[in-house]
Amino acid sequence: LKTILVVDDDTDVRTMVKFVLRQNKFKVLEAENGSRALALATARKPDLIISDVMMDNVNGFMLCELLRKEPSTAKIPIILVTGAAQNAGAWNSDGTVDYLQKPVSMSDLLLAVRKRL
Amino acid sequence: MISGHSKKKFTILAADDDARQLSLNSSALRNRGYSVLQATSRDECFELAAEQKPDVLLLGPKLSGITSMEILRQVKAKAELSDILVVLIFDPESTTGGNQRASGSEPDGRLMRPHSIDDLLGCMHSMERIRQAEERLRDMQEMFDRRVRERTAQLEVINDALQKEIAERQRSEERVTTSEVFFREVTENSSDMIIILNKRGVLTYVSPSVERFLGYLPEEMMGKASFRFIHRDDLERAMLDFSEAVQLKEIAIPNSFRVRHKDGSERLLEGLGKNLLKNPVISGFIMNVQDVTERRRIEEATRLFAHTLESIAELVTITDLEDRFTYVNKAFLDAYGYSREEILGQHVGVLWSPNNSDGLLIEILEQNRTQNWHGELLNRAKNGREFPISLHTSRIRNEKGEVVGLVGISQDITERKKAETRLRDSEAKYRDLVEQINEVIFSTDIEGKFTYISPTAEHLSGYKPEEMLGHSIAEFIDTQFLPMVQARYQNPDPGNLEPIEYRVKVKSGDYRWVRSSSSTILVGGRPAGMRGVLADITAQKEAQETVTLLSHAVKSVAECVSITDHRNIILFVNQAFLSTYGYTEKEMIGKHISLVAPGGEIVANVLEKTLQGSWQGELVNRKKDGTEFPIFLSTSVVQDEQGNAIALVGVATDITERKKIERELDLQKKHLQESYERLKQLEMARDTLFHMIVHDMRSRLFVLMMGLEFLEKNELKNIVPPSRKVLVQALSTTTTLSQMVNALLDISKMESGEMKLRLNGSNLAELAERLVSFYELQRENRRFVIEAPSKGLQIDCDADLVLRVMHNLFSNALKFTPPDGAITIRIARVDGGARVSVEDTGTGISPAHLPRIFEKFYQAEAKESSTGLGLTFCKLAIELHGGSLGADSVVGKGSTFWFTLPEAHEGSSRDFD
Repeated sequence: LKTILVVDDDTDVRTMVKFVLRQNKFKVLEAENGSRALALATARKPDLIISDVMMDNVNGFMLCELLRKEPSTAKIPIILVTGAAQNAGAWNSDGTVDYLQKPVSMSDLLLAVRKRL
Repeated sequence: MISGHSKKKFTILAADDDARQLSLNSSALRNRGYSVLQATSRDECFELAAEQKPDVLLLGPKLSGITSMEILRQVKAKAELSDILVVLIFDPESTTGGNQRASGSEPDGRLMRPHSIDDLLGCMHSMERIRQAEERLRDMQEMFDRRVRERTAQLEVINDALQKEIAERQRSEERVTTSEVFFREVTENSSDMIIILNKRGVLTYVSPSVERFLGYLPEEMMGKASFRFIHRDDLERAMLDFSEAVQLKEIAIPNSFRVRHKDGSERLLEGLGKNLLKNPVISGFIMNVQDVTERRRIEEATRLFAHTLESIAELVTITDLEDRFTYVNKAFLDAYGYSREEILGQHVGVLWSPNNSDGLLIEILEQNRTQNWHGELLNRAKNGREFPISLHTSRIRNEKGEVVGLVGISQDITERKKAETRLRDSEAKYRDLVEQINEVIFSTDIEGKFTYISPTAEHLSGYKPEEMLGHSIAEFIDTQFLPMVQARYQNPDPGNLEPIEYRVKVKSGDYRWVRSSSSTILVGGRPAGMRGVLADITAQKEAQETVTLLSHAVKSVAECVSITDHRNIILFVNQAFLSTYGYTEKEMIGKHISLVAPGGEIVANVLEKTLQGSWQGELVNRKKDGTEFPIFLSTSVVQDEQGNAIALVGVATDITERKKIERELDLQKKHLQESYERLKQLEMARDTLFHMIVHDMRSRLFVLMMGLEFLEKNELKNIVPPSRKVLVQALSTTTTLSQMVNALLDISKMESGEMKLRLNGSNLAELAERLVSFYELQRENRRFVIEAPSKGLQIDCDADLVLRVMHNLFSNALKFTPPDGAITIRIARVDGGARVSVEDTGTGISPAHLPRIFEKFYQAEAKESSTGLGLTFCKLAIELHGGSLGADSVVGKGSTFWFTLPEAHEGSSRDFD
């Protein structure tokens, strides 16, 4: 069973994504902000991380940067999902960060997940 | 908050036919601390709105069966309710959606049912922010209005004070006018004397009037050589002339010499000599001599004042009592483009511009009868050009205090022109004054009848001597002077040699001024008649009048006029100068100009510039009491006929008030700028709010879409068939909503300049074909036509964006075109790029809506599934390409939406046409 860490400060979003992923036979971990996500990722080594961008504390971009600096998490693929109006920029330098814009359909999300796992 | 308003609780009036929704929303809002009123009918709603003045009206889809858009229109139409912010709750399943765009009123907020409590609260929070922003704007506006009112009041007070000061200045000026010493001196008269020389130049007769001329008694001079009294420099010329005159016979020779007065002073005498050596009675050389020192002085003074008026940059006019020009200076002629001949004698109305307010001309002319006038008005030059002038008028009085004319000083205030650097020589007009005076020698009997009159009388009077002999002198004298002359004859006093001046009527009917020096002829100790010399002094009299007029003009003007010599020593200042600076005349004359103008270097610089021609500029001057104030000074040099500088004229205006007003204007400009900055900050806050809302909407939509999609994919078989339709509808609405959010996001990106174009060579005709095939299923009986060059049209553009623009335009056209209509896509090459138009045969757009259709959320007609953002997106996307987008429409015939795309780079596009 593959493990996916879902990071979003919105409980509704986390609940829905968790539900859909579990229905599709994934194990799901949750974090409500970037620093909690960093701790979980280091401790549990998930196979994939799906993260929101605009969050208090540590945002999605900072989270990517911190994960890549830590050797044990450097290789985990990341999918950034954002609702922000501004452009995400080039967070795909090593080809391991995908970028989706909210609202993303269930099929598109699952497609992105399956591409990495 | 900068608001001073008392904090009123934010009140919401909720109105809805659906009582359950109403109470749900109300309790949610009350729980969040809002004050909530409820209404379940239209009438109740309007009553509560008028009574309680709620901040927000939250309207359900229908009220008393009326659609919320109609209620909104009625609320916005009532002036007393138009302040209320209106939020509409729409019901997607209800058909009311079709009436959403019935009128021009826009709700301040929208909610789509079903909405969560957070959505409702979020919406109300936005309304609170809008209300706060409105209040701040209102406060700022009030504050600004108040400041303008205060400033206006202050300026009125200043204006009153100024008016009083001007009136006071005029009163003091008029008091001084009658007691002028300098100019009375100028009007003093000279007299005549008769001398006889023998052929060696020795004086054999000197008339008694010599005492007034030269201070000698006749007996002190008789028997002496006339040349010893003549100035050394003129001596040689005098002797030569005399020896020449002795050779000639019976010829009158006019000449002038400088002669020493007994007190050592120098006098200029002009004599008219006649060789009567052969005459047995006279046997000498007889001369009528006049003292022309004064006349020369008057001529000099006339030239000075005429120069002064001709030199100054202000426009100077003198008008008579019928408001006709009798004098205008050079600056006036330059400004209006008339020649002197054209303007003299004209009524002042010839300059009048019809754009002045009615009755102003009458007001100025009426006021001038009794007092001075100062103000601004529009005048018109000869070529029709109109320009504003500032005008000061003052009345000119003669010696007796009677008003004889009006002097007007004006400035062209369109721009302060550099004064002409060269002065024009004062021409023929003043040279006329140097006219030769012809003496007439006469004698009469005791009754005043002429017994002898010299031939020169014809020159003066036009009568030949024989026409006058035997006639009484009284026949030729202007009747008003007759009593004076008759008194002479009735009381003949042999010792009285005082000359008298009167006017005689000449043959042509004109009058001429003469000065008569006469003495009584005694026969046997009894008076037997009179004999004397008449001199034509008309020119001198006219010169005196001119100098009086001009000097009064200079003295009367409201500007500060000063005349200084080439070392900056003050020679003359006018009354306005004295009252402005607080000095008396005695304290100023003979002093250096630095008395009033501190800063020696600047003053020296002004002097240097003025000596080269003229100078204009602003300076700081000092009054007697030490206060310093700004002036606008224009100076010019007065030259004599040889071009030597004889004086400098300065005209100064106190510009303290003007400076003050300039500072006020600066301050107001700063206030306006601050207001603008605050508004800009509010606008930025609104933008931030917008981004937050978009972000939150997308997260919620994400959840909603995932949930519904999951149900549709995995659970549809578990839902009873009639309910499946509900799920499909919900999913479709969610998709529309997400399109709307995406459009908002695109627009926001384009507005903030974050959208980057991906330019590729694209064939517009191929794009059009792809587009049309996409809509094939919805075609029905409509005709779809593509008109393009046979090989298509290749251009560099972002194909994705351009296709979306075409989708928007085409789907709009489809919505408004009836099933049997036609839609044409026309692609053509135009100068510098391509033009694409989408033409339909639909209902058309009314001229009232047409200019607004590219605004965000604007919808001209009610049609389903429209976001109101499509055209805004299209416009921004095309403008990002550097092209333009527009629409033409005729109601009932159809609309044409078109856009142009420019060539991106030269050579980068391939033209197949």
